Amino acid sequence: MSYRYSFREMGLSFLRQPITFLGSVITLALSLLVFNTFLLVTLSLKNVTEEFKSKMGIEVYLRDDLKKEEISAFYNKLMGMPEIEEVTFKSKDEALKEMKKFFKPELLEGLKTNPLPASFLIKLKKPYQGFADMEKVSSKIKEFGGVEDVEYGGEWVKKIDQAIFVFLLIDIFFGLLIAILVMMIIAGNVRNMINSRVEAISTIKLLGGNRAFISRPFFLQGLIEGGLAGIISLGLLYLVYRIFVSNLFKVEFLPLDLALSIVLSAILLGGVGSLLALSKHI
Amino acid sequence: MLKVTGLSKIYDKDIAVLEDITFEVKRGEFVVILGPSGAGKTTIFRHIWLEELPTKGEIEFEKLKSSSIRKSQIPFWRKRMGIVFQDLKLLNDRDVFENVALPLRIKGKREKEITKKTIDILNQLGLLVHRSSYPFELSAGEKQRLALARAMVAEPLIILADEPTVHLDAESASGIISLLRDANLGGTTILMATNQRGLLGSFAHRVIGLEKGRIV
Repeated sequence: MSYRYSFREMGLSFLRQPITFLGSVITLALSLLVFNTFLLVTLSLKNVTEEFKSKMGIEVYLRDDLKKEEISAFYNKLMGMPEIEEVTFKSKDEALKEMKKFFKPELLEGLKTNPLPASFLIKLKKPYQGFADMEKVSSKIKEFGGVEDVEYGGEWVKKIDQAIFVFLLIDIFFGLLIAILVMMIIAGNVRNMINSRVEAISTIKLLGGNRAFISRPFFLQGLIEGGLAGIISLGLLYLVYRIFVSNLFKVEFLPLDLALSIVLSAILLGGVGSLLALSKHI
Repeated sequence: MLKVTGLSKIYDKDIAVLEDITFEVKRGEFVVILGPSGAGKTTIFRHIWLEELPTKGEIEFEKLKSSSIRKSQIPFWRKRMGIVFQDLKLLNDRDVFENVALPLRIKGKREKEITKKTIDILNQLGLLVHRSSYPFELSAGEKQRLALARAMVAEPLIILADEPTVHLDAESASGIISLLRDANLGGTTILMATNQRGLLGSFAHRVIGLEKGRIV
């Protein structure tokens, strides 16, 4: 199999119709740019919320009648839970001290005893920072006994999780839509190239060229168009990111593995698009 | 090597273009199909390279039969033939070298072998000086030689030459015939169609007469 021939044929077909080729690559790149932008927004939102969620924890308020040994046993029980990463104890005195930072002294003068309970501040491990896990861990802790109350930013976490889920659905929707669009554009472009070479193809067939020999340059064309569009769309996104986004927001660019996946997916879509055209027209 | 048995072709409205054509070409032979324009010579060739299938009858080429051949075997059938089409079918988007190299590329030969064989045949047919020209830049005789070079380069079992001298002056026509004769002397089987009786010399082993789709 002469791959050099296939690559040269593909190169020649680009040179024969450069405007069609460039137009197609730019259209594809812009379509992919829409998807990449949504992906970047979702990813940034996810990063920001994950950081927020990592700072949120569960606060366990203890009953006043618990003895030192019981508090220590409580602490050990918490540390034995697989979901928990870190536990910090806040005594009644420390809680009062913190309160005094926020209120004027005259407002607290009337207090004869310390009304604030001792508490444990719990930080969960990363995989357990979602709403469902927070709720599960809190219920478990309530069953320990000696607990006055358990508080966590449940509703907040729930809303954030829901927002990310909605963004992911939008990404999937746009992703599918753009995947179909990319395949259709490439299939249409390959079909045009085939139509412009009908006579040559028919001669090559009569000289004994099989389907693979005739199809390979067109298939490569689809792969190259998809790959180029993927690279250009990432380049455009990076430009937009550098010029507008990174100066205003603390947002990271798409990670390298994701960027590579986008290019590979674009190449794959290009291949599928050209195969669609080839299956009908060769 | 090539056997045509009872080949008939009927198009729409019962128009028979070919009727019960039977002949055989043996290895090493130079066979000429002689007949006026419209006698069905090109139609016979189109059946031999399986561009068309017979309404009746069969073509057998190197143990493969047109009646039982699978679609995927057709390229293999054609690859072993060297064809000079009546309308030449040269590819105007590539130069002389690439036109001639095409059958070797189709056969999957290595680049080194492709270059060597293509240059050898271009040299042999006096076209090396035009290796970078495009077909539309050549004279009628040069185009015909180019088509012949493409048919010969991959060392086919048989060369099918459909009116290879049509539109050529006497000198160019005789040049093409002597190239075919040389190929035949080198061991290549030739089946040629022509309507020019004057071209037939002593080189043809057999002449098949064709008139109105029938062997006469």
